Amino acid sequence: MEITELIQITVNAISIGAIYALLALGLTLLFGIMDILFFAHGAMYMLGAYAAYYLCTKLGLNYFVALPIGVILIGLIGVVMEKGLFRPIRNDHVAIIFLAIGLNWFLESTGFVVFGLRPKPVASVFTGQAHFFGATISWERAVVVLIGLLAVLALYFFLMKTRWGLGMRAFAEDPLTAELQGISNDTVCSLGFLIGCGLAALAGLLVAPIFILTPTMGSHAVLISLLVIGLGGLGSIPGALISAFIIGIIESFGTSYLGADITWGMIFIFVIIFLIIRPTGIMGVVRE
Amino acid sequence: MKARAMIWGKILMVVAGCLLLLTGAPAAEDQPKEVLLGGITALSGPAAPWGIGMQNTWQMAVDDINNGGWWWQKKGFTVDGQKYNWKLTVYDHAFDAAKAVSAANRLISRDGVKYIFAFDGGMIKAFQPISERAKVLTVAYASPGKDYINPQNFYTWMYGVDCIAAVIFYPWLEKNTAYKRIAILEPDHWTGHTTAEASRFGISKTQLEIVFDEYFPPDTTDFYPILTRIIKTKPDLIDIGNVDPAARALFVKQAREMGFKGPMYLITPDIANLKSVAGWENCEGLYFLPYEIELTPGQKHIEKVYIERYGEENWIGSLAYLLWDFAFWLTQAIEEAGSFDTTAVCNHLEKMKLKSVFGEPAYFAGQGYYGINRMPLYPYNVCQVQKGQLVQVITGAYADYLK
Repeated sequence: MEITELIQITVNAISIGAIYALLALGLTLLFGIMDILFFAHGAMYMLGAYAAYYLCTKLGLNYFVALPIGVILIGLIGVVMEKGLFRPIRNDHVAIIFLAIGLNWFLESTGFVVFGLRPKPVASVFTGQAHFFGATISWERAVVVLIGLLAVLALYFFLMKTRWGLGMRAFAEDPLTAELQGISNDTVCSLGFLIGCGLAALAGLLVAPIFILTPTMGSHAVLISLLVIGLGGLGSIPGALISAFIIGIIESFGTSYLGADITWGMIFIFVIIFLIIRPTGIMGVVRE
Repeated sequence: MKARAMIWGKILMVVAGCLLLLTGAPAAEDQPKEVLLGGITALSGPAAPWGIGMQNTWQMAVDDINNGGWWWQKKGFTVDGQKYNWKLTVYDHAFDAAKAVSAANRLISRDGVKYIFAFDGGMIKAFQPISERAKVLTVAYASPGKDYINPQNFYTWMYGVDCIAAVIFYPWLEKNTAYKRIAILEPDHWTGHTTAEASRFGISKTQLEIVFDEYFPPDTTDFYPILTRIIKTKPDLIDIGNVDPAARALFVKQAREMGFKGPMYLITPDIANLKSVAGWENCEGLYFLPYEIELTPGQKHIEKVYIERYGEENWIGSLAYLLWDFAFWLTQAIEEAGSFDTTAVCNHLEKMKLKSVFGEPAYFAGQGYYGINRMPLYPYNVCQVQKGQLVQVITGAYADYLK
């Protein structure tokens, strides 16, 4: 094995891992705080990517101006969904799963009508490639890796060091006790959806210039996110981060040495065996 | 007096009734009857952009036949003195074989359909036992696999281009360039497998060497790991024939980012998508099959009507041309055979000289590969991007190996 090749495969693994971590972040937050598997996360990611297309390509906004606008916009859509659709069935987890799956399909189908059949591109913001020790990575991927890691750190800091974060963690532990302490469950849930959907949108906005936009792009993303949060430990942010990089490493090395067609099978087998040995995932906790 | 008037009144009523019947009967005969043309495609799910485009194009072709548009020049078609119009009924299979079987059952058993246009090969294979047993003439808009196009499946026809492309392109490549090493990459689904098989068949007619031959998960958007593996094999050309339009544009972009400067091979390219996603500068050296620099009148007509009806946003590019011809050929065969009997129509279709939007002569062939003439051959053009310009490198070729 050549050293250049090894570096290239490692760079690929880091790039893939950072993108998967970014994808899983919002989903793991919603599960960690509200105990729900929000399948419409994929649709939020897709809407975020299309926000980049409409704000940058159609309206001509600067990408860095479009980034916060898109995140806030999709976050607010999440709040509206929480209030209008999820709040009335908050305690019925099965109904929430079905509603989220249905919502994902509805938004995907509507996407074809609203956004058209043709895949949409978003122009590269950072052009060119970085080279080191013979390995290549495009600048736009390098930026996604950087912002992805920053987003993970920012979320972790928010949950651990702020009053809002403390309130959300208290709600996650015991909603009733949290309510008795003056922490409004409704506010926490709205905030959870605002941040969770905002993070999904951030992922979409960031990968929009790298990938290509189709209304179904979220379905694959949500599957990867589920795999990441399952392996990492449902609801654990550090766990999701570690798990994203483990999957990235297996995918990159597996594809490079064994072939793409069997690598995903290997990843699923690895996750299944790991969860049989350790059902809580890498950093998950057992809840009563 | 009153009784006589009543008798005359009754006589007049009978005469009037007879006159009404006499004049009314031809009017009823003039009214065209509707014949159902079934469609089974993906109207939802990841393949919906193709499926909806198919439904749109089939509908345009049916409307042209019913209204005497383009070269049809007469309203509807006539069989045994009775005029007929097509009515298109399309069901969604969402790229799910079980749903495709349900849709076929519904069309054949409930709607009584004798002719079905369907996408894609994997779906057709699933419902083919039903359609063949019911002698339903099925047109496969799919990659041409030997497992469903063969003498045992007499009623199944196809309009794929993969095999034609490969047997024309690779012998030409060997003769006209110094390229020797070919990498084949296709998505890991039925269409990808049959396209790769067609490429291997085309390459087997040459001394070219296959240095990489693999499949990737269809949802892949990040090709860096696969490209690392491909580039290691030092290919002269990468064959990404039937990778879907979105993924292939990403592949081209990422291949250039990873430093691959050589040509690639793409079937039914979506140029607009390649330009906007991969960047035209990254498309240098790419081969497009088939691709016309100068559109034929038929192709211009399709593009114009499609964009007028469904919008530029939904224009599916050269795929629309491939979806067009068969509705006309089928109608012509029914009319000339003077029967809706599908055996008679199949026998007639085999012998027909075809009028194609790709040009003439066009006819059914495929005996050399499938053992039965079920694939249309027509003049085939190939373009390459050279110094930013599309240059036609193969003009009006025919897939001789398939005859």
